[in-house]
Amino acid sequence: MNIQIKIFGQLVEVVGCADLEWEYTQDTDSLRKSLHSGFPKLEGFPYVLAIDKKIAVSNQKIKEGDIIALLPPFSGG
Amino acid sequence: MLSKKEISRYERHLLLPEIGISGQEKLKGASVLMIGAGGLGCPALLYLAAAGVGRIGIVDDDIVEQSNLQRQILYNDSDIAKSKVELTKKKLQQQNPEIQIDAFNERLATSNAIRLISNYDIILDGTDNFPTRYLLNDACFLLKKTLVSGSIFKFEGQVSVFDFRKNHSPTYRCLFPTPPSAAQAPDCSEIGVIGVLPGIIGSLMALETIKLITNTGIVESGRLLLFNALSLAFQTLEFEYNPESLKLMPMNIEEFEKQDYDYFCKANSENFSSNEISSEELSELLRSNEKIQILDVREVYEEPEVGALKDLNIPLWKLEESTHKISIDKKVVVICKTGVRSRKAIELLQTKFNMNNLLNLRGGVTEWLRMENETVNNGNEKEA
Repeated sequence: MNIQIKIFGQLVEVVGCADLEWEYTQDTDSLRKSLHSGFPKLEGFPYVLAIDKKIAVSNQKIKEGDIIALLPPFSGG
Repeated sequence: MLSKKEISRYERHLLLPEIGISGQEKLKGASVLMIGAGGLGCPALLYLAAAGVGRIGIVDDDIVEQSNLQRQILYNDSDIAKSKVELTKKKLQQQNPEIQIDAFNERLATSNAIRLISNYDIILDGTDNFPTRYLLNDACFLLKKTLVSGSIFKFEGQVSVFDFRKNHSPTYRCLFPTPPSAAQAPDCSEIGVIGVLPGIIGSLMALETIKLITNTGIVESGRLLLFNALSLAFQTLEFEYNPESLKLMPMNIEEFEKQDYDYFCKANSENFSSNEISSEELSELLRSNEKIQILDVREVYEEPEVGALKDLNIPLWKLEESTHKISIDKKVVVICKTGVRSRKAIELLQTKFNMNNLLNLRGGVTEWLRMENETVNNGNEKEA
């Protein structure tokens, strides 16, 4: 089973695409871990992770069919 | 009370039941402070002035540059090298003589933020760097002001409202607890931006401000709007108040004024300062007897030219074919406009060519010139 991940801003360059299909993990901590091993440059990048349009603060469960978003802050004005 | 002239001027607002006479009077009685008169500031200010916001303040210490004209729609060719806030004040006053415009030719800092922000109801963040964004969040939180935040990156934008009039309202720190380093989040001058994007995001900021003042609709508080210009898609994410993220925040004005926001944003990025040099350190190095090379990786035509730093110029994209020109037996200080391209150059030279004698000028030529200016000003003060 895979999950859909939407990538925003500078992270598109890091990951190489804006829409990513990735192997399901049960929570956000394990998802971060698995993404960092796939994209080492992502580690150390302070991005925010959202599940189903809600920003996840601490470790949160991921349900089947949830859409994940990875986003960084922008500084441009 | 609206005058006869105002009633006719704002007729289209008065016809809307959501605004009407009472909403227009609220706009007239409101005060808004725009931080940054750049890409976001220009459209936001034009619409706020047109809408009849009674008092508008503008904070910016920049002058107009040729490369601003592609998106900063308040300025034209004849404005180059002139103060942005002075021009903006003049133009907005022409647009709407019924309102008051206050121009502050200052750079927002911990030393002036409280004084500037205290006199306004709603603050708009149209700044172009992370230290100022965190600074503004903290100042508005402490003063219980409403902050309307907009930011852009290439073809994407973000908008959110932080309503600090309410207790436990989510903050910018709840949304983004950790700032990226300058290398992780380069600014528009390094990576480009589509000109119409700040027009859209700045207009959304004006819209949210007008909704806040007239108490109309639902504002983007606790929500982050994401816009993608390439797919023409809007999305909203929700976020919550997180007391954890407030731990790094100053808890009173005294603490706020002692904060170093540049340091806060740098300290959070790893490996960032390992092979860096500040403008002051470079200046000392140049005065010493040590022989060094200065490698400028900006484009050949790029301004400003800095006499003291003129040495070897190889644009970043040409670097690989010209490495033979770079010294290997002395320190090489790599420079660009803000320190981002020079960092990329160092990464490239280190990994592909094994060069380990490279130092990055932090903040680039921009920071160097700021230091030169300060030295001149301090010198003048001492003489006077």
